[in-house]
Amino acid sequence: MSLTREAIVRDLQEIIGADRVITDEQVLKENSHDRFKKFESIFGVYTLPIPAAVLKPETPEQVSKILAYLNTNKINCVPKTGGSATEGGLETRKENSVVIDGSAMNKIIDIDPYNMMATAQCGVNLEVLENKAREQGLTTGHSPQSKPLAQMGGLVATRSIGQFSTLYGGIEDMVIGLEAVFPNGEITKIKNVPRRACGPDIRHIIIGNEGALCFITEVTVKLFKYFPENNRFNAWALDDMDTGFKILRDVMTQGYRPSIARLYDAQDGAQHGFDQFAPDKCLLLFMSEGPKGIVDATAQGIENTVSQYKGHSVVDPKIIETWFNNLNWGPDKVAQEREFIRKNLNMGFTTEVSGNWSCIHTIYENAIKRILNEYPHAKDLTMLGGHSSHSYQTGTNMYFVYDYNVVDCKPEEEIDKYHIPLNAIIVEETLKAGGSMVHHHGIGKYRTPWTKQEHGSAYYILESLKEIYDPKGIMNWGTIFPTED
Amino acid sequence: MKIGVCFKSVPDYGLLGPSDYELSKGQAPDLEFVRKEFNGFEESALELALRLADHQREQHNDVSLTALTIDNSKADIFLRQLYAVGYDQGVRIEPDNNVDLRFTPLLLSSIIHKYSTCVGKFDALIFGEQGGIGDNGQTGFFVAERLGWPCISNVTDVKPGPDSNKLAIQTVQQGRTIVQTVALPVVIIVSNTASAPFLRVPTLPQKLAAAKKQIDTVSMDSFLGLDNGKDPREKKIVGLQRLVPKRRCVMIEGQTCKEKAQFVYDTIIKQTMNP
Repeated sequence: MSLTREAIVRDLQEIIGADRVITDEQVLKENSHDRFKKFESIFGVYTLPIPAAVLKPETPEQVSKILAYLNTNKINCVPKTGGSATEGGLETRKENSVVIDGSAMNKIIDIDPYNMMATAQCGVNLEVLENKAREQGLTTGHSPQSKPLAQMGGLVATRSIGQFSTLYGGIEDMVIGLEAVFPNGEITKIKNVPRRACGPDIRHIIIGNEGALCFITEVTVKLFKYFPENNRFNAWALDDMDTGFKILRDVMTQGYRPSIARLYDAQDGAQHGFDQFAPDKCLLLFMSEGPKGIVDATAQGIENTVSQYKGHSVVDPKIIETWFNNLNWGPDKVAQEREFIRKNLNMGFTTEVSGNWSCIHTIYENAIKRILNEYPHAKDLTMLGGHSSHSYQTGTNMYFVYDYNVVDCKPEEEIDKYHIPLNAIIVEETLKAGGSMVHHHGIGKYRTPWTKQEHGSAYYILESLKEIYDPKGIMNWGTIFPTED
Repeated sequence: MKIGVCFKSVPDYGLLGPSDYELSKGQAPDLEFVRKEFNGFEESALELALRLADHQREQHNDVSLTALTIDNSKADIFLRQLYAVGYDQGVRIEPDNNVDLRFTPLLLSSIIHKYSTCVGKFDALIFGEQGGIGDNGQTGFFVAERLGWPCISNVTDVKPGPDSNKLAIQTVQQGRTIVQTVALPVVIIVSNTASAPFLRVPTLPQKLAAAKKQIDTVSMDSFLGLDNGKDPREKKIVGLQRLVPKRRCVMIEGQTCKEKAQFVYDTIIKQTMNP
């Protein structure tokens, strides 16, 4: 027989102390969802089961005791650190779930400038860590738009990527070692070494697990020397996306590594005001970063590459630099966005996918075309476009952006009428063309219908991880792994 | 009913960093690289006019909306957006080359007055409370004075009146809400309150349709010659100072939430309760 809500709260209070068990109704409501259901929450509608409690452990040992208890009693938990998730990964889908909020584990344990690494507890805010590193002339190299909000554990759990990824890589390229707690209470620590060949790289069981396998309590990441004085921006207006993808490919395959390499279509560019400087054009932009010699060579190489293409015009780099310096999202922008949505009933969402160079333009074109031709509420769209913002040797990502007026539906109906079907079209077109359905937001709870298709025969490996580490299925039920209901 | 709404697109000053506040060409910081946006004060005015037009049409009253700006061609992008959300006409009065229109309410009011009298023939002219940061909020009042029309300021809402030549205008004054029935013509100056609306967002089909519409462009010279005031080019800015918000952070210590709340009450809230 399952435990009552009251019994769960009472037991957890005994395990970690009453002051670390929050049962305030509004806090519980706000912890029942993430930014996926922001429209509902703006209007005070909460349709998901409200968790029994939000827990704020202070040590890995407390996390261990919590998980062991939940595992014994088969109580679902949702690990959370930061809360900037956008894909429903933080939703409490099961009755009497428990949210384990790691934000109280917020100590920077060490910044080691000799070995070039920083170790932080899961609840350390990325911006705080980055600022500490910069005091020593160093950087983590990780700068997602959510930097003011995101915390280290959540960033690793979702396989986050930052705006300088073309140079520094995604979080998976930055993580050296980790500490994580598994559902049976086992505290595991992966040591910090530059490289090893001692079996499979077990860091990757933890990185990107989205709280569906374990709870990350500590992270060690690389540090890099920071040369902001050398940053150099380049930008060009182009006639079409196809040319932009080709230039991006040329830049990447020739070995240049700007920290930013982005390609905006005209529609998405207009959202950022680029249409005021290059009307109806796509925009290709780069930032070169690092020691001056590398920056100069990178910028020159990019200029040479672009010059081989016709139909481009130079855009003032100062425009791009000014825009980029204001791109991050802190609490102020989140509050402004909520106010705008509340007053105007105009919502915006994104779906980010990736593909090899040979298919990325097909994905872009087919998804846009299909939305305009097939989506029954296309007339409510106020914007449809996208950009590429993370490029690699073999391909790039496509970040689809779509805004819409919410017309003739209740707050709780918005997500089914608009975002979910739009997201589905993009995911389907991406998988059809051979790309990946998620580039950096994580699968969460809403792209799980395609998890098996995404992984194909390799799903066997993924599924086995769940069976081995979370056999009772208490870790973030419904996330990553498809469920029948 | 012919409604004219005056607006400006202004640089998004929030994008500027400290080093951007430097004088170039002796008159102003270089803002060429900063994207523009609807002046927030006037964005609300533009949306209120749309809502008024919606109400009028629901009552089967004839109504036309004109958006009017005095700016160079960079403002066309904003006029197109206004076409897309339902404005019937977009008018841009092209200023002389390099003319500085800041701090010139007499000149601006003269131009708007002449346009309204000779071309627009408006029944109501709507302004935002203030043109932008540093502006003086006088243009709307001067236009009303020149036209000899009543002027209602601090407006928070406008609806159709009991008959077709009247409007029900809501204002907020000293915390009180007042609704006045005003006969046309009238100048309305919209307040920038917390509840002020954002401009609605056009759909993709509306944007496509607006891209084909004609923006009426007229030279500012055509509307000079009445009472221009001083030549705006005579202004000289001698210096700029960036106001840095000064904040202080106090870490609240306490063993319990109750202790911390008591500290906030004693040191902050209590003082405001007992002035």
